[in-house]
Amino acid sequence: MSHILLTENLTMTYRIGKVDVHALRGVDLAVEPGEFVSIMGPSGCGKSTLLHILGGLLSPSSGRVVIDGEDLTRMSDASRTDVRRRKIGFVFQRFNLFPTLTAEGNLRLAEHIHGRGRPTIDNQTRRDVLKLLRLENKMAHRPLEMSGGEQQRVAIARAVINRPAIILADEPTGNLDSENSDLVLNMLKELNRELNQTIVMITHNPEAAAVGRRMIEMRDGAIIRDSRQPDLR
Amino acid sequence: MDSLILSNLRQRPTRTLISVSGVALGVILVILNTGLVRGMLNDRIRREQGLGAEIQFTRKGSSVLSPSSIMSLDVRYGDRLRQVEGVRMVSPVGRYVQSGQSGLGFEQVDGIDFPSYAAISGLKIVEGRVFASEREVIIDEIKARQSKLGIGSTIQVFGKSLDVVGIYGPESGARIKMDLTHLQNYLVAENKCTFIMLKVDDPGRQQEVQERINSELPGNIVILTRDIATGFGRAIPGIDGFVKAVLVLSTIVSLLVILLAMYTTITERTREIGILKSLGASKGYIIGVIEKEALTISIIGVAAGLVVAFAAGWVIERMTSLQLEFHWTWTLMATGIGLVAGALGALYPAIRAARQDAVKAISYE
Repeated sequence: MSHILLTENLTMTYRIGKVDVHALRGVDLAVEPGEFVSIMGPSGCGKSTLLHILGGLLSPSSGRVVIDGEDLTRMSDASRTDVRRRKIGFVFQRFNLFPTLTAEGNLRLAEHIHGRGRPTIDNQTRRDVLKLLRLENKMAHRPLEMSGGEQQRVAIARAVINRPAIILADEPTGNLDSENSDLVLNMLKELNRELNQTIVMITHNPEAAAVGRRMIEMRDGAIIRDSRQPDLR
Repeated sequence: MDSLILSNLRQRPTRTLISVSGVALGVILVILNTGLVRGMLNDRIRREQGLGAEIQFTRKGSSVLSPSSIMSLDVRYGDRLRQVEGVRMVSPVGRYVQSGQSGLGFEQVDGIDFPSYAAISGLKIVEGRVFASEREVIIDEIKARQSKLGIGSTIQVFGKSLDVVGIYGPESGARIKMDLTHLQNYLVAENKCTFIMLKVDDPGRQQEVQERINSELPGNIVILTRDIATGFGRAIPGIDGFVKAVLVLSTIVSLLVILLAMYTTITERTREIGILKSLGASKGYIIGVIEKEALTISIIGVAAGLVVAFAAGWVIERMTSLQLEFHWTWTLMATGIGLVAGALGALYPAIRAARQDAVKAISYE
């Protein structure tokens, strides 16, 4: 099966003053379409750096990153941005919605950027996503008028609305209480199951990580464990 | 994207208002200043040409074109000029310049020899009578209408209240007129005037008469009235420079306001720029968002500036002696300045925003 995400010997070294900090030390990772991968590890283990490199927001010091057949490491910043537009959806810990826009406006903006001003999403897809995330009645609300869980669901809808090749979720439950965390994790699981959406989620929470069908554990910039759970569908 | 821009403008009303005001100020500066310069110059040109004389004779330091009250020309030059071949009539005019009745601008008072002046200019008393004493003046119909003056009204000249005894038309020269001898007495300038109006026998040969006067009475200023249109621009030193300075100043004001507003905006919205980048927005897209926001502000500012400028012009004309004349080229220029300054002012903040590091921007507190 072709990989939707592939990294080869990925390293990342930051220079802080006169000291080299090795954030990633040769990460090899292959993710197949439709997988839900949780990357877990303590703070400072390099998981956020890895996610930013996978999303083309950072360039690695060495190694390769291939997303859906496109090698990010051989691209200019503009080309990586274009891959992000076409193939990647981000979900952040702090939701990162535009506070001045309604939920509808936030989704429309993502669609506008994805389609370069032209509509690319049909109404049925839009309805399916909103129904799946139970957001049909929240579209006219601004972020400050919604709970944390609802904001994160809008952020997930924004990430998935353009049907990206992969969703990269950065501690999506980090700012939520346990009830909303469960809700959001279940929805990510549903997206993965119903839409066969590939998801890579980083978290330091073992319970959240357990939602993924594949769990990767990182420490000191390297993958130390890669395990698959039995498919319980 | 349009929704993002409009929602940002609505979300920060004070910033939007200040930015719009800054652009509007630039537009108002251009429209009012150019309107004022153009209005005042054209008003004077129109009235000088309404004198009916083909030639005006004066001396250096006593120019008809300059706003001074120096009367250095001896009225007896009139006798000499009358003898020049081709000259049919002469009429000496003394000109006094004082500040406007409302305290804004200035206004002129002409001292005239009524019979000869009326014969050359075609001036007629349409209401009341001609002046007879030192305390009497006549005014033209426009002055009467604008200043709401009539027969029996008083008007301040030389710090004295003089009576309006007549209203004349059509407009020519200064809008307030009194007897030349009385003006000479007020200014302690016996037998002096500012310039002498000359009517020639054949207007088609006025240039020949001008040359003849120059050769017979050298060292004086002999102007053809038809040349006065270009003469004022030269006579008021630095008028072109002033207009250009206003244009530059207006552009700088608009540019700085937009630059500061958009610079503040991108600092406030660093995180949002990071989000745009994470969504795959290109540098061009981000520059476009900032530029469109600046242009929206500029368009509103230009519209507001035009409305305020035209309204202010209307009020100024009714409340002062100042004349404004708006022209579509300057309206277009002011619009262009507002929009170009807005676009240029936003360019640096926009490029800076587009170049921001995506990871740092997303983590910005």
